[in-house]
Amino acid sequence: MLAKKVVVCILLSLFLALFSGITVNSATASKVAMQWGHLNYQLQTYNLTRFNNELSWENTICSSVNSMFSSSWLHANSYGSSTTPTNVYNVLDNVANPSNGVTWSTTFWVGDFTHPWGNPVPLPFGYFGCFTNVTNSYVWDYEIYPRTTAYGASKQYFTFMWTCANGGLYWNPIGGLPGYNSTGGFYDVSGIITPVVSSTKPTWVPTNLNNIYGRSSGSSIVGMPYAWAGTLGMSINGYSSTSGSYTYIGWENSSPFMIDTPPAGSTSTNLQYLYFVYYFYRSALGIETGTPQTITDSLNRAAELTFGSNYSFGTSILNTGQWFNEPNFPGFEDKWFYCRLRVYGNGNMVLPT
Amino acid sequence: MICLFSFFFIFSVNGTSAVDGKVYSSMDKLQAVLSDVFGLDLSKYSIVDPSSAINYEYGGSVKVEGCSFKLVDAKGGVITVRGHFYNGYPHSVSVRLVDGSFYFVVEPPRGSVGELQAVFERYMAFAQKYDIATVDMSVALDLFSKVPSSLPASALSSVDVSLDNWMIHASKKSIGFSYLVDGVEVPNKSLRISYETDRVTLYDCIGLYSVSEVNVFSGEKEFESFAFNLAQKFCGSFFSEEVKVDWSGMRSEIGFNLVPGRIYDNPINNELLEQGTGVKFSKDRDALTLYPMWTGVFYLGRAVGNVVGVQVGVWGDTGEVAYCYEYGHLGSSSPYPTEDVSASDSVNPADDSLLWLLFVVVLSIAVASIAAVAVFVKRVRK
Repeated sequence: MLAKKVVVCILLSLFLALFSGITVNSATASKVAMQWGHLNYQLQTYNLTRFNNELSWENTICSSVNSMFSSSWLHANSYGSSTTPTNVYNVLDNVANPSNGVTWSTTFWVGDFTHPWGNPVPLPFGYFGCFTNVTNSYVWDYEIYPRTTAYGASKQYFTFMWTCANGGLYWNPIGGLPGYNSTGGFYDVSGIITPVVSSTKPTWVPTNLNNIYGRSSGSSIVGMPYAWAGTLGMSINGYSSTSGSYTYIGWENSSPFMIDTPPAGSTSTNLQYLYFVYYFYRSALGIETGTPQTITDSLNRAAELTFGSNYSFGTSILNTGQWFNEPNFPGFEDKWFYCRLRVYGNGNMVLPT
Repeated sequence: MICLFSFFFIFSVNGTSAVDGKVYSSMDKLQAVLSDVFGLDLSKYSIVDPSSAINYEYGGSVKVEGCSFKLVDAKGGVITVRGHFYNGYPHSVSVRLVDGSFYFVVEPPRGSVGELQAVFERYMAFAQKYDIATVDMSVALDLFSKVPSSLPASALSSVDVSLDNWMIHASKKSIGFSYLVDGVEVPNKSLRISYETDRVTLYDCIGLYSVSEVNVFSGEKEFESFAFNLAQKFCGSFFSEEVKVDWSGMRSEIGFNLVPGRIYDNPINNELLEQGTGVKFSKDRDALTLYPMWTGVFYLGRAVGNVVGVQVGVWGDTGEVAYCYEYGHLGSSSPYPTEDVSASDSVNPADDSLLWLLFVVVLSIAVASIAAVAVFVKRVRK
């Protein structure tokens, strides 16, 4: 039995090495840690062919996170050219397949997100996807879900998704108040679902009446947290929650670049957002204190180091949120979305050693 | 002009040995914070999963002792405790009750200034015992005397009173002192004890840092002018020639902080510098001195892709440009705003009309095939 497991793990390792262009650190690990991500290749037509700082920063943080996983993990940085739908889906398939002996999987993803424009189905934004290295080919939530749940409960126990929009509360199954879209099953909250039109940055904070992070859609599902964790049962306040088997961290609406410095007044260090990810994993993997810390304690420690000792995650701008203008199309410059980093699931989770 | 300010130490800067001559570990000090400052009766708990590690930050010049453990009571309640001491100073201490309200475990201040002062005095006794330089007691007491007895009803609102180079922040659930430079608060040189619903926190870096005396910019306007010029030059080299950069209606956000001189002297930034894209800093700077850093974000009149502006950071003591980069958001952009959506792989899995159409087509082909076979068989039999 053990021999079979080792053989299967070696096959998995070979798979990862062959298809992701990565270094395999262990052929016997039952825990898998992957780093994926890609920027919007279309942006390169504007500006990114010369010198792309953000690209370097994203690649560096993925490399750094990858280096923090010990040899007890099968871990690989597949950011950039290795991030293709084929590679991502194959790794998900292999992790889920019980014959491969993987018991626990975690993913960090940084890059651009996409969704269908025009008349998106299902409402309000359509399906959620991530850019890959393949032109016009994306990794979609509805493609992830059947893979993570192919053999039962998902093994993607912890997912940290630093992309726009892939961690929002966009639906509400109940309704009952004005502004409810019964067809789409969501409250059309200004600043969350629809942009606020204003020539200046709004100063108020919208109350999001939506309270679920995914839903079924025909024979499929929509929502990245649902797709990775394979459940709608995660707490929507994972920062305080201590129950459940999964944790998912992702952005509601726009996420800043890794290279962005937090706005004046929200930092006493001037460190860029990249450091939040860096310090989070240093704490969560026990590099700082010798013992892995809980997700919540790691979020707090990362906030202290990134924004200053006077901040916790709860008081940081990541949790309290900020207004971003929608940057992508002419005429959108006066349209604003309220954006924050959401934590779902069990904040008391500790990454296994 | 920011000048060098002297500040008041009651003890020498030494974070490892205490006034009684003994050497205490960070674990010793962390437990002492719990009992001596927060009044936790440690005899009621078992200490579980203790761990500690020593790292050296800021290019190896600052010893960081990190430690953590859990306190488990007889009923199975769990408190997670972690502390990080920088050269012996409590850079952060966090005591968090898992799954519950902290007020069942420690007695928080009920909102009177006297109670806050009592908490502060307990901390000062702790600081004295462990040789932690911090705010001068006489200055602190003067500031306390100026705080009105009635604090704001909301724990989120504080009363802020300043005296010379110090400011006190008092709210119903927290007390803090900050050092001031020309009236500007220096959060990195401050002390704060805060009671939240599920945790209490403490940090005190007043004695850890000194403050640089020089700032080459006379103020925000001068920096903004300097930095905007940099931002415009950056766009000239960053964007391709076809892009017409639009600065019409440009708005800016300017910030100022005093940050540790070698805060960017870390492995990840050093790696980025090797790639030519890290934040520049001088290794001549003292790691435990706070230096002025100006920051600015200049928003384009019209975004270019996901790039909405340019961000600039400049060391205020020398005028050295720390960074000048693009600033933006990760894409919510359409991958094909001008293309036919159907040309991509974004098949809508729940589009019932498409599925139905597919079903009808397949069924029609199947029926036609069966009919053709049936006709063929019939003819052969004839």
